[in-house]
Amino acid sequence: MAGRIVCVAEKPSIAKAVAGHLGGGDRQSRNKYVKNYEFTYNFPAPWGQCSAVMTSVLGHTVEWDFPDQYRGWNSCPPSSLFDAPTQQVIKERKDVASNIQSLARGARALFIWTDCDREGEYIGTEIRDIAFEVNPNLEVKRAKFSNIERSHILQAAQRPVPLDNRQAAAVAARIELDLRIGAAFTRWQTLSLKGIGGLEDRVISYGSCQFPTLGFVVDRYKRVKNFVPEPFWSIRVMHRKDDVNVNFSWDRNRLFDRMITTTLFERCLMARTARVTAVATKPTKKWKPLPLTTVELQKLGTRFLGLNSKQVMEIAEKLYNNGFISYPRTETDQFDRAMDLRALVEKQTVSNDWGQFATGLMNGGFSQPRNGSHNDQAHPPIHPICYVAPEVLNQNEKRVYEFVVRRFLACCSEDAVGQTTTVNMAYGDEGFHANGLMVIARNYLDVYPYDKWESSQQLPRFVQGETFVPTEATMTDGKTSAPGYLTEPELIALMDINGIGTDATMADHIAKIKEREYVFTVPRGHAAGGGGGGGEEVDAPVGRGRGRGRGRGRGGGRGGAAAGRGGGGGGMEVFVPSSLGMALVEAYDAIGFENSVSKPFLRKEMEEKMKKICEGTVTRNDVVHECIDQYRDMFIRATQQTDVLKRKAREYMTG
Amino acid sequence: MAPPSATPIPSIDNLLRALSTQYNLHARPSVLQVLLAQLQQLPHPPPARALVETLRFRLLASDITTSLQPYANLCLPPNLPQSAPQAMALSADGIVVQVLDIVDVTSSRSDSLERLEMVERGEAMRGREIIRVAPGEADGGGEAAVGARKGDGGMHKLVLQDAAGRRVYAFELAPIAGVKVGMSIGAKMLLRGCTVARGLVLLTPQTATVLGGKVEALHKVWLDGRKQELKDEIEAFKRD
Repeated sequence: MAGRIVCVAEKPSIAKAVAGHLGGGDRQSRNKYVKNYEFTYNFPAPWGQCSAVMTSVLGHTVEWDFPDQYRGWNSCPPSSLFDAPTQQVIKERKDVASNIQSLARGARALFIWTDCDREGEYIGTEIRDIAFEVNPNLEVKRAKFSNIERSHILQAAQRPVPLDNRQAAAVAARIELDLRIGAAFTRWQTLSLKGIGGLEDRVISYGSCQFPTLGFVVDRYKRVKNFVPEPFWSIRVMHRKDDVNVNFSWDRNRLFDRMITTTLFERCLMARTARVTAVATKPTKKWKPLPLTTVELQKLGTRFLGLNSKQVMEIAEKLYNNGFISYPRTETDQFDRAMDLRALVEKQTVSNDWGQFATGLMNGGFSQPRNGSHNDQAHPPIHPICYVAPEVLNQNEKRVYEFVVRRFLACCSEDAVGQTTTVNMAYGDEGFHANGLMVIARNYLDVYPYDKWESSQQLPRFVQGETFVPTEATMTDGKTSAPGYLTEPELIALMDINGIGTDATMADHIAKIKEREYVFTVPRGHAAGGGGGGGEEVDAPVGRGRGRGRGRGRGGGRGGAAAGRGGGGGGMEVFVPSSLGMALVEAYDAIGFENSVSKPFLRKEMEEKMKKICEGTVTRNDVVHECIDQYRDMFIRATQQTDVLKRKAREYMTG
Repeated sequence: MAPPSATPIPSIDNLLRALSTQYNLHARPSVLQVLLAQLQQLPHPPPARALVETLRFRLLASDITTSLQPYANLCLPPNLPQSAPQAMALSADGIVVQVLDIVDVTSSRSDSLERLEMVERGEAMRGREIIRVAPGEADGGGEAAVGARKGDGGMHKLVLQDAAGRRVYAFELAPIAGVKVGMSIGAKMLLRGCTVARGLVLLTPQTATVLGGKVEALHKVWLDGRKQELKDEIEAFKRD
């Protein structure tokens, strides 16, 4: 058996698919899930034609933990966990490890086929270390691939690359930090709150990603609860021309001062006539979407597919494992020029739903996708690998697959084209405007129902310099309305911008805080608002709620651009903190961390340091020490104010 | 050419004239005397040719109710007609006023308060500020902006005070350079022929300019009072 190549994938489904492509039967291993596939294959030089075996692990094999003397809840002061020794042990997955070792004995090389991301790189080093125990002379390579389509896999097999130790080191740093910080804060929180009714037997776990995530939910919740509607005033002008009621919006939108608005309104009336200052008709486009990244998949999936981000990711993962779509964990939103996208489009022409559209692309409608600004250099944007008949998929899988395909086809299509007309008008001292939009060619919109762009009512002809006495001018009033509770796409966007978690882990953190009962999701209630609200709906400048007003004149001719509010998100849920969630965040904020662990700063820094490890500018050791020091400071401050935590918990849990 | 120090100090009358003709600052002679005396006490008194500039600077930093002449033609009329929707224009001679209060009327009280508080927390947080995404604006789809968009300058309502101590409300009919929340309280403005409507002075770039300056004492009092005022107003809305 000398000279055998041992291939190890991250999970059985990949092992099976890859082995299938390289050609091999199977044989059971010691673990009931893991199979070994034997075959011979012509590897690139220097290996050449040789026998090979393909197996897999089941994700992580090695666990990090504290030694026994630190593991009991009361075995040591929680603060000592920042410096306590840690050990890496194989517990549950002993059979997986021994399977690898038995294959590695006498083998010539180890060819790692874990997923190509940081976590996969780290799992690769686990596998390597396990194999080295019995065969330290193994040559180690890894395959670089991002989907399990046959030709792609065969190419990857021909071009092995070295394992990236830096990426693995970044993951090791993260695991160690999460273990130490998580254990210390969890023990302190849990032990401190044992005396509070309802929390006696509860583990109150802490995670350095979970808490900022929870913080976002609490922050929005408090904004909604503390919101006070404020009155505002506006001026609207309607002019009837050629049997069309044209509504002009005030350039100033709205003012929070009645006296000034009244004065301006009066001056409009005094002027009597309005004068058209500019008429501009120009072509406009609604851009086709960018190639799909993980974060976008989660945001849009939660918005349009009636699934939460964890479900979306699980389904995407499954579709990938079955070879239906490319690797779903990617930050890249640009397609490599060399990729044969037409071939991928062509595969979709057989569909009953979008086949015709795909055929249209094949017959000249194809347009190279736009390039976003992200490239993780590991995986292409998420795209379909092959056509999958709907019968093969269950309801939810079908939705996710359909979304991925439609998004991909939209990317390969043309932008939607339209024409806007803007009429600017001066009335007294004040400027007003009316817009009309005409959609000329829907293009990508035909295959991508998730975007809305529709023609508005057409404006009658106005000429620059033309004067008229407006049919109607009114001063209106309204009140600002509260923002809604946080939705999942919003939460994901916040995590993304603030560097909480990676695209691969965000969904898990969200699921975690739900599972811990720090937050609940409830169906979005009245918060949606707006729908039938008519013309008074105004864009809020920043952050705060939109205005919804009274005093509107009905009748046609909404001049505004018909930018859809992305409807169709039926059944979207919103996040509300539990009493415990509120108590924890308020406690940490009250303890007075300007770097409160419910705020994203510390974690964001940690995440950036991980990147630096990958770039090779700092070492894993430096990062672990720096982060431990920061969190230890926070921890000491917190433990000095345990009573604050207790008080807040009591306040919320008994209130 | 004679060295600067050899230039004789101009007479008070000359200085008064220079300040009023060049800068519309009609200083009270007594105040100018005092300022001048103070300047001469300095270890390095300003050279004579820089004197007018220095005095201008001092006047802009002073409270005009004590430093400028309250002559009728240099002040707001005693009674601005409150009821006339379209009224008189203010004197074109130029009225110097100081800013006592400024509010951005395009922004709600809650937003204004939040902005002030963020500035306050700013020192601790600068550079690592939480970015909040406004609801619904997170989608990546690009769409060409349609129609006229509001400028980001806001629109400001001010309380102005003249040399006689009279106060009026004014607002920006069009944006004026230098007028923004965060401008110094006590800053001076020059008004020329502004329209007055319903007792409000309408400010445009043609009729109003910011001369600059700041009155330290006024600014601090304003800042402290402003937050409380916003809070009280928000409380009042709650009861509505």
